[in-house]
Amino acid sequence: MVELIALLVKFVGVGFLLIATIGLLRFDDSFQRMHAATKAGTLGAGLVLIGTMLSKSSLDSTMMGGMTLLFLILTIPVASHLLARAAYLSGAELAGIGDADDALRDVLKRPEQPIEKQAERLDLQGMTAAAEADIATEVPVSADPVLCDAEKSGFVSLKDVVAPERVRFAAVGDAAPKLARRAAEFAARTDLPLIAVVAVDTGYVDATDNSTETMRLIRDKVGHWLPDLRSLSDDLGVSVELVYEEGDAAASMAGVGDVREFLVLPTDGWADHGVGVATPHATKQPDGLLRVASMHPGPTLYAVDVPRAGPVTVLFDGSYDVWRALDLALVERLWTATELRVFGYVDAASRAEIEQRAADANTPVIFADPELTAPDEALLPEQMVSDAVAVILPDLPRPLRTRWYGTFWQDKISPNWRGDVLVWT
Amino acid sequence: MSIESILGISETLNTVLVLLIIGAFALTALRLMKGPSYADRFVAIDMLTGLAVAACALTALTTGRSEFLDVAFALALIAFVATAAFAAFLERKVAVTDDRFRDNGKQKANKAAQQEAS
Repeated sequence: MVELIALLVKFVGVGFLLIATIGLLRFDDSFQRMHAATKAGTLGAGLVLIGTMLSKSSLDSTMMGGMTLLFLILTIPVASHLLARAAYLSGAELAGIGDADDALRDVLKRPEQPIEKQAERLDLQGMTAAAEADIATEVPVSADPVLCDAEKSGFVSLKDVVAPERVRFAAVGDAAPKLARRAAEFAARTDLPLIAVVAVDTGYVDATDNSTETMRLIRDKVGHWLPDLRSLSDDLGVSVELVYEEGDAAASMAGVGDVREFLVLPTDGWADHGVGVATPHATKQPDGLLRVASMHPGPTLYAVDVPRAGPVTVLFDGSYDVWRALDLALVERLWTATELRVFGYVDAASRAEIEQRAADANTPVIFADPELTAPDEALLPEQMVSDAVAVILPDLPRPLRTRWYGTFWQDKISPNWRGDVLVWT
Repeated sequence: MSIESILGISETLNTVLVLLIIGAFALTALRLMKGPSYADRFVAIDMLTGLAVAACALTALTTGRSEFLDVAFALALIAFVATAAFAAFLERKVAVTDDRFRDNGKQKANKAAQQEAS
């Protein structure tokens, strides 16, 4: 008799599973599919487990099956709630529900379009003709001849998107005063306000033996060059807003996440400001500088303290990020570029576009030989960067630490190369 | 059909159940491939693990090895962590994409304002 009940329960369970998958296929939007998959799916799997426990009718399989069942019942509501929330926030389509009926409309912020559609529009290379036409009509044609030729070239003009409204400078370590001057000069040239951020990493301070003493050392050190930062505003006639923050240093440096903020960071150092106190309670030296770029949605420049003139190298991958960074560099004249070198696969249309933009910026441009490849341990071949003053990258080299087993991060761009790095991630 | 005769072929019936679940796997895989949104794919993956738990339980019966129930338990554990991770990934992706597109929104607003003015 038990055997028969077990068989029946298993059949009902598998039936529910089949119904769940049919629902998963046939319903109209993610939420209805989730409703089928999680409710009928759990019931089906649960019934199959109960049937198995009845058939086996031994203590250990009943224990194991019972635990699995309990765990399924406990976790599936939580997991599907998480997933549904994420789906809603990602802008997943709500079939059959108008905006007015959406009970969460003003409670949770969500994009008007599903993020997949937005991602398509980010992908400049794989852009379909329709999307291209769509963007070309949406971007207002401004008077700027350099970049706003959207209708003619089919490429998106990014000038209106990228033009920075503020320069944000994060002061770290001994190079801070010199670098602050560079940031301030850029701000003065572009007539933008400057925000100088002095951040102290309390995570580091807490990891030292005597945190009070460490904090005193850091404040002492920062106190030495704070006057230098202040005097910048008088010297160069820029308005400097000085911000001092103790806490999550990377977040302080990245700011509130404004795309229009141009972030200037040093190439080395961290918000321990080089006081050199050991951290017995942490496994590694604190190091978060390279993470700041990914926390900041706008352009980030890792700058060396002395500006030089020379070639600028671009690692071109056709991505939106590189186009934006390239535009910013050409329009704002970040460097006195004697030459623009492009490395990476460039299709004919992009090539013409880059040549056009470089010509408008009066910069000669050369494209790398397609046969040329980067060495294994570096992003760029040596002949492209050896005398370059700056590189524009789609992404920073991994791992995001300034020193990794004794290798300085810029060595991964090209061994022994030092210079400015512009990223927009 | 007597009860005994049904019980006599219960081995075969278990195999039939496994085959049905394989069919369900195929349907779920179809949704996984079709998408269209990330959320759909993640729901399909969630469903796949649920199906795998049931398939494991039935395999324990057809093969007579109760170790497959341990496998089912481990799968149920992992499924939860995986779904939670997918949800976190999706939310973070929203945050990133949102930042990039905020300015497009601004542009649209500006354009609308310009049109009104003119």
